[in-house]
Amino acid sequence: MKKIWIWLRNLFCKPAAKIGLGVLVTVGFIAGILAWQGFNAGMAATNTEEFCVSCHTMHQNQEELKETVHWSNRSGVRAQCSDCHVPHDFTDKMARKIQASVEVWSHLTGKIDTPEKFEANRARLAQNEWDRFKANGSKECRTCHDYNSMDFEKMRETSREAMRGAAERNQSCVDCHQGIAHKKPEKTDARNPAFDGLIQAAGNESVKVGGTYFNVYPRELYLDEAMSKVAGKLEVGAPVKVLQEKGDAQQVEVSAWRKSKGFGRVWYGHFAKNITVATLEKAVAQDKQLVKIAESKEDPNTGLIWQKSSATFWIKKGEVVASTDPIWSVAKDSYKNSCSVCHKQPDEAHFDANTWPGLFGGMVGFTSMDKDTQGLVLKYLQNNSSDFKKPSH
Amino acid sequence: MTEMTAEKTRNSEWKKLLLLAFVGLPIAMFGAIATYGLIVRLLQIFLIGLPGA
Ligand code: HEC
Ligand code: HEC
Ligand code: HEC
Ligand code: HEC
Ligand code: HEC
Repeated sequence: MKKIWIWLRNLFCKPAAKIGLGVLVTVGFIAGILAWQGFNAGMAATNTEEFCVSCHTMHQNQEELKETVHWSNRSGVRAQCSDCHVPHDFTDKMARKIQASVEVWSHLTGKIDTPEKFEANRARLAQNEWDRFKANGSKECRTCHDYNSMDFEKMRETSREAMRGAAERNQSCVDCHQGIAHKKPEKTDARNPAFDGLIQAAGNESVKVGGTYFNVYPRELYLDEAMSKVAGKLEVGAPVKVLQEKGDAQQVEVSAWRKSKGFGRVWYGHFAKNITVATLEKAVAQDKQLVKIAESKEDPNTGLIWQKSSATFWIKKGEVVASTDPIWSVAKDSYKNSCSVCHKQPDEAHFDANTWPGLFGGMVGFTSMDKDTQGLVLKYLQNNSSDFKKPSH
Repeated sequence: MTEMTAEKTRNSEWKKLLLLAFVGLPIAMFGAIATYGLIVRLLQIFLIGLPGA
């Protein structure tokens, strides 16, 4: 140990006796150039597509990229993985390389080494990338695309308005353009965390027998107290009258409208308005013992007969609240966040309850809302539509 | 100093020079840049927040 130390000290501190200073500096200079070259070559090599996809975990992403305009287009410009994913300035790039070492580590140690595991982690990884693009305003995209150089007139008609607005706000591209290079990960099983707050509020609700309450989360209706026989599905925001509580279960009465035509499986909250509150199993909907019909009325617009019906079911206790306000406030936030990205979100009361589902269905694909949130926001829009409120302008 | 030892010194000095220039220097450079990257990354994780967080 001591020997090495002395050797090192001599190496650095003892002046050279036989080699001229000029030779030393020259050799050092050349070595420096070569080393920097070598380093950059190494950096470039680890930026190539071959390197990225050398891990089979990354291979899937390349296959998907091949389907897109960034792989092959009429201009012959090809975006490499690193064009979009590796920062271009030195400090960020070095930090990203260290992060990449972590990726290599997790590949080698088998944390994510198979396509299956990759798929399972995909939503998380994509979210990381979305966050990164959001924070840097999609800087990497803009090395190739620049708002200032865009000719909006030459864009497709559907692109113009959205892209003009985006340029005005200097908005980050990936806010709107997700899944442009790879398949966008499915978000269906990730529950919107806002529901957790609602379920918690419902847990604290002291329910009085005979009162009317509102369901906070889409879930099962049961025929029996043991909650073993499924009768159908109760939608979020659906009103129920609590009849009694037993153990973990609650007996509730659901009263709503249904069309006399067909099996009457779908129940609606209001006469002649397509706002679903529950969907029953076929046999259950046909059960004359269970379903009581109070009145029948014809909808003059469609000529269909609507029946006011009611039935009692069992549901799991602790998932209803006394007012729709907390439910709609969650929905309103989601609506504002997701639907104001490309245009100002339309006034809820600008359309009526039967028009919203079509409009909403056409737009929701642009957003990253999960299934439950979609259902919630649509219910919110319908229940606050022009059928119930005057437009605010 | 005899001819022999002078020759020896020259030899060993060239060896050391080349060792420093083509082995030591690249290692030191790579180490320094890696350390720099690591420090920035750790700062990102613990202090200034991840790019994106
Ligand atoms: C040694 C195999 C390997 C190589 C080579 C590799 N990756 Fe990865 N990559 C992984 C693994 C494993 C993960 C998942 C890391 C984790 O668990 O967070 C990952 C995650 C990612 C992510 C998600 C990022 C995030 O923030 O979570 C991106 C983007 C990515 N890699 C891009 C690249 C690019 C671009 C290259 C080429 C410069 C590359 N990878 C090279 C194995 C690799
Ligand atoms: C290497 C340069 C490069 C980078 C980086 C890049 N693009 Fe592109 N992009 C192109 C080229 C080239 C085209 C195709 C132009 C053409 O139609 O010939 C294109 C096309 C597009 C299109 C049009 C697709 C269509 O259907 O017409 C969108 C949207 C797009 N890019 C978004 C992005 C986003 C978002 C990013 C950042 C994640 C990005 N691009 C990064 C070069 C790049
Ligand atoms: C406010 C949301 C939004 C933002 C932000 C945004 N875009 Fe777009 N962009 C759109 C929409 C919507 C379209 C039309 C997509 C379609 O028709 O499939 C579009 C279309 C495009 C097209 C195709 C144009 C054509 O020829 O029709 C390109 C290229 C494009 N965007 C690039 C970008 C780039 C690059 C950025 C960031 C600098 C960006 N966009 C930011 C919403 C946005
Ligand atoms: C045109 C820009 C672009 C190019 C080129 C590109 N990506 Fe991506 N990549 C993205 C965007 C944007 C995301 C964020 C998720 C999304 O919107 O699909 C992403 C997400 C990812 C993820 C996170 C998990 C996932 O699948 O969503 C990985 C891993 C990844 N890319 C690897 C690669 C590899 C490997 C290549 C090269 C074969 C590559 N990317 C080329 C834009 C790009
Ligand atoms: C990716 C950008 C984008 C997102 C996100 C988006 N929209 Fe749109 N929306 C558009 C564009 C572009 C048009 C105009 C298209 C047209 O006229 O065909 C439009 C038109 C509409 C219209 C029609 C207006 C009218 O008077 O006919 C309604 C309603 C609407 N959007 C509602 C929504 C709702 C609700 C959401 C949230 C679920 C949403 N949008 C999210 C891009 C978007």
